[in-house]
Amino acid sequence: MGAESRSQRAGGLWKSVQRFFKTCTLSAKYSMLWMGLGQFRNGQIGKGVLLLLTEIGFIVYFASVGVRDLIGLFTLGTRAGDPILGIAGDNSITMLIRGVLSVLLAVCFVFLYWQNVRDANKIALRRREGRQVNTFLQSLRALADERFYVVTLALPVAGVVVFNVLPIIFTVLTAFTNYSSQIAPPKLVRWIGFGNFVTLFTVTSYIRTIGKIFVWNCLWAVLATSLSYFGGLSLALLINKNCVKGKRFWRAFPILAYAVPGFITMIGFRYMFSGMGPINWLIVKLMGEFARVDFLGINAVWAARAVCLLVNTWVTVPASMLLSTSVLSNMNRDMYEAADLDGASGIQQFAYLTLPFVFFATTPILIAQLIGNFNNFGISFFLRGGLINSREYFNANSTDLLINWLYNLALGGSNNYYGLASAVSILIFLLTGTFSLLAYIASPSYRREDTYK
Amino acid sequence: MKKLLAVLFAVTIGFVWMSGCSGGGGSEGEYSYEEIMAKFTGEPERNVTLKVLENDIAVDEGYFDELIAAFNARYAEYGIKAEDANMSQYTDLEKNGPLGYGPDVLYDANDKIMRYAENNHVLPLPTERLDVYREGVTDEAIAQTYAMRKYGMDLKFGIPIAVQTPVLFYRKDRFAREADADGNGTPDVLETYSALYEYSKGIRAGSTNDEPVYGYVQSLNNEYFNFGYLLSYGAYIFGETTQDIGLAAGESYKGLQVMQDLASVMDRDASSDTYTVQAYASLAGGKYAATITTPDVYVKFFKALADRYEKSEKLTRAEAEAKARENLMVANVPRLPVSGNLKEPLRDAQGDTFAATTMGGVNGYAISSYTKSPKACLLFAEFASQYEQVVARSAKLGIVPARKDAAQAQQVSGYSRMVYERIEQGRVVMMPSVRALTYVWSSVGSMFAAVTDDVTIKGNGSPKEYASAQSLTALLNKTVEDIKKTMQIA
Repeated sequence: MGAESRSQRAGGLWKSVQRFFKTCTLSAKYSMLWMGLGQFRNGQIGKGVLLLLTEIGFIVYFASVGVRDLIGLFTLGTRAGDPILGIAGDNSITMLIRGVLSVLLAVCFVFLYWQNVRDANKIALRRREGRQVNTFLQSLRALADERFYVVTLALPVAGVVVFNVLPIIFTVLTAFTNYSSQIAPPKLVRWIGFGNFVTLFTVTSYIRTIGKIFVWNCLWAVLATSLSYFGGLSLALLINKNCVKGKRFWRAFPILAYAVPGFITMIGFRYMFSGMGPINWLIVKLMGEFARVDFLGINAVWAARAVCLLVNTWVTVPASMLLSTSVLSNMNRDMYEAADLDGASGIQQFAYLTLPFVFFATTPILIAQLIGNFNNFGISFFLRGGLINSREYFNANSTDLLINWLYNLALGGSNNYYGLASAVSILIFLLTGTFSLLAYIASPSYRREDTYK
Repeated sequence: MKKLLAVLFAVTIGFVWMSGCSGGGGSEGEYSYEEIMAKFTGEPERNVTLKVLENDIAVDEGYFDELIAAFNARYAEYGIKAEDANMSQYTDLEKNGPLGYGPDVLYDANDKIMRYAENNHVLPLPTERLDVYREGVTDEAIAQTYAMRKYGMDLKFGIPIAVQTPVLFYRKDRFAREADADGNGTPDVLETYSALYEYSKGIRAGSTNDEPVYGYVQSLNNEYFNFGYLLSYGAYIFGETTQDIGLAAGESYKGLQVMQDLASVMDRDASSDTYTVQAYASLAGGKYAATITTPDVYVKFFKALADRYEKSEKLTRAEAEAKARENLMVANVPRLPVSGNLKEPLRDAQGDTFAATTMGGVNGYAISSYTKSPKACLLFAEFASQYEQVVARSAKLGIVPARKDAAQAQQVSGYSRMVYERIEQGRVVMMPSVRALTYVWSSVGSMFAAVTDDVTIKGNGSPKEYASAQSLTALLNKTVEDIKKTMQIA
């Protein structure tokens, strides 16, 4: 049924385009021939000149560099450089970026062209109906007035395209190349199709490592988020109790922990749990040498994971506590009084009143925390000190998450397998993107939006 | 669903097509020697400023300032000026060079310079114009570390300045009561690792937990130093090809056993990242009696010891330095037991042991392919590698000169000749000048950490998981596999 309706929608769109071409005004057809011609016919000279120049500019750009950039996107260069001999050669990476830019510009041009046709048609219809048509100056004034949002948002949108969309497309495309520190300009980078993905899923050591890391990554995300969330909530509830005196004083301590930069806390914990750190010193003092624990050693698995969870909880609970405190302050106290009258116990009140309310209000943040923890680079990096090649892992250790592995592959040691790392980043994006979308749609914040309104 | 499949199919076809579109990797054409050296032909560039990336110790100790001052004065008429590139000494030319951020001239180890050479990031040098490559000036084993066949020719990409290989540093006063039966000036306990192990064990046992004192301590995190234990027992890095990795060759597991024994009597800080920095003060303060490291840090130990004398004994700076010079000794790396077991008493200190092999490297200058002033850069590298400059560098920093003539100079420390002897006897294995070596370091580092942590943290002084020759050999083989996989993927 769904597929049928989508098919009907696509068919409908095509039909409406066909209908437009059949029924559109002569001005629109002029604008189809060359940008701005329709506007000239409509008497909008200023707008027409601007659009005409835009098309000329685009043609000049495409004729001079655009086509070359577009071809470069496919070839990634044909002549390797040699700085020893002073041969500049083709820079594959620059060509890749310029190629993507040319595609984006072409898309923008097509969009502009379509808008130019629509505008010519709209104005021609207005004229036909005898309605007033804005002059060039009036159009400019309108841009500064009722369409001010277009002016103000245009620059940020352009910025997002150049500084966010372009790098994302670049990263995605890199996953399909053999780009690495060994194969980088002045050498030519090549397209290798799905080669990096094939490597990830066929080289035994990679499959084993990706499997182990993925399982731990999911477990970590759930445990770390739960500990942080419920830890913060418990602390907030505790401090919120009427019997607690000096609430501000008690709240200040977790905030102090929060105020210290996370990585400094992690470095401190790394020392504390190291072989020569105070925790092992205490263990040895109390129980003897035999009890010494290799918390963060190269082959430590569950001890290291427990330390990572503990440290993460320590670092994140204060923020969670503040969040819970603010949510709890909005709760309707009447509900609790009513529950008391009905004889509900404290646990029942928590389970049926507090938790649903807090959960409802914080689900989007909870999802964000979960995704944040899924991609929590710092914990393993700072606590394990960049240890890689643990037993049964390849270029990773037992507490590394996919994001750490990505780092190890891209920048750790002398690896610099940029293509392979980009492939891992696409996998991470697919996993986290799909999960966050599904989780949000399934959450009460989305499904029962009006519950607490 | 059909449309989704069609889109996926189209994308797949698109990428397959794209993979077919790419150009070839490009190959080195045929060029004459003159064409390759074209950048060095003609008059030097005038009025240029060269960014020189120097070794941190040379910068810290003021040698670099002296060097550039002398160079700038010498070439003032050309307007050529050298200055500190002000970059980390670990700046990667491979990443930064093509973007135009790298230095013009860089000082680095041979493995790194030759990694750059593989991808043409540094220039081949006109060796016929360089004094350091004149016949007999530099040992062939040293000169070869900068050699590579490219464009169908044997070319050299670096100018050797200093030889790096571990030597033993110790405080003479800590061994004043120890016998020196052979009268060679080095106490007997420092002649073999077996004796040094016993000495270290006794020293540690005689000190308290609150103020522990150790005998021999070395960085357990340093792959470069630790590699020597494996090499000594028959391991090799690469054979005929880089696919032939010989970490597990011979009886290399015995090298790991020696490391385990030594680790058991060392300070736990030896496996920390900060060991290198704290070692200077610890040796000066008497916490450690002996350690191994490379000769270029002699000046660091010397300064730490002089500072100590100046403060604790209220000596003048000159007196403190004289006392430090007298007390800080450098000797050969101790001999290793044939058995690989330091706990086993030696019946014959000579017969039951053999001279250790260490890993070595050559630090030197290279010229970035991206420099705009190659001829001026060559003048700088030429100037810095002259006899007078290398002797001055060695006298100030304690480096072992790569030039034979400089190593024999009066001003240069005696251990330079000792290191030269070891090179000539084949007891220093130079780091292979191939990119593949970069894939060795991290895997080998993890292996050493696993072996020593097994003793210091898990085993409380004796190995727990890697207690047998079989388990150590299995670990060596696993490391070889890891390196091969990394190389295969790269």
